[in-house]
Amino acid sequence: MMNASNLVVLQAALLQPQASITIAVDTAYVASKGGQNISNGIYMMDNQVSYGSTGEGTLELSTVVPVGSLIGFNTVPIDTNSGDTVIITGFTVSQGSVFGSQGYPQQQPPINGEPAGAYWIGQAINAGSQTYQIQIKVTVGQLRPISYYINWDPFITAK
Amino acid sequence: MASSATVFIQVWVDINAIQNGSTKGVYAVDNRVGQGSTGEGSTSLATHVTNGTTIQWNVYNIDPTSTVVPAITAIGNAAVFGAGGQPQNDGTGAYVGQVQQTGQSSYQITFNVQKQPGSAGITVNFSPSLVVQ
Repeated sequence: MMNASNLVVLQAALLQPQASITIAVDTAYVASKGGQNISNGIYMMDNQVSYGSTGEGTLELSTVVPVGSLIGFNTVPIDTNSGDTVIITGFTVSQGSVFGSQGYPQQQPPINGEPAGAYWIGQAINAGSQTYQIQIKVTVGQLRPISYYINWDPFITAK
Repeated sequence: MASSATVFIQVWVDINAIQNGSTKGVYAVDNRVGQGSTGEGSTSLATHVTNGTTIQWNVYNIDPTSTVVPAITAIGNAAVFGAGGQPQNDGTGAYVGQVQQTGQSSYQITFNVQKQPGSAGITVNFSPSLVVQ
């Protein structure tokens, strides 16, 4: 018999993104800069280089996906011993409409022991190119943790 | 159990792109850009560390929902590992080692990916470097 908790598991299992983006963060570097003017220490990579993505390993990742693709966004700290955390706090779109309204990224249940907010999924509803802003929250330190909010402008093209 | 590492080198793998004998779809990053590391996000990563540092290496699938899990099979010798710092599998899939000698060394990371159960694995090698001061 299917109960409410079964339904949640089923929904999570059904969302299997066709494209994935990892955002790996050097949390100590972000803290050393006070979260300001970050042009390094955050590395974006996707699994679409064979489909035409460029800018792998940089903040200026330009992801290329087929129209209709679900796109997973996952944030991770590079130092996994520090207890520092990295989560996504939101997305905006400044140019283009690949997500449309229907495909705007949504926070997903945590995966692989990550904190809530580390994993989001969006969908490339419309063909074309878009510039979007992703905002992350980097929390550094144990006794008196400090959070830094950082955003930047990568790209998605759906074709 | 977490290692005593303070330096982390992560290798992120695009399972859709990798092929035997190619490094396409392989991206290496560390937590040392503030200390002078270069080549972040590429297979030419040069990690800058101080002598005596413990380093941990992991390889991950960029798709965190995939059941395809790449695995490090070897980290090659390098002079900077000295007599007793050669990286070893720590039993969790990570490799942990220590730099025990100053200088600059390239070293080889080898990992394997089995895209589907029963299929032949894909083996990828690349050679980043360590700069030990």
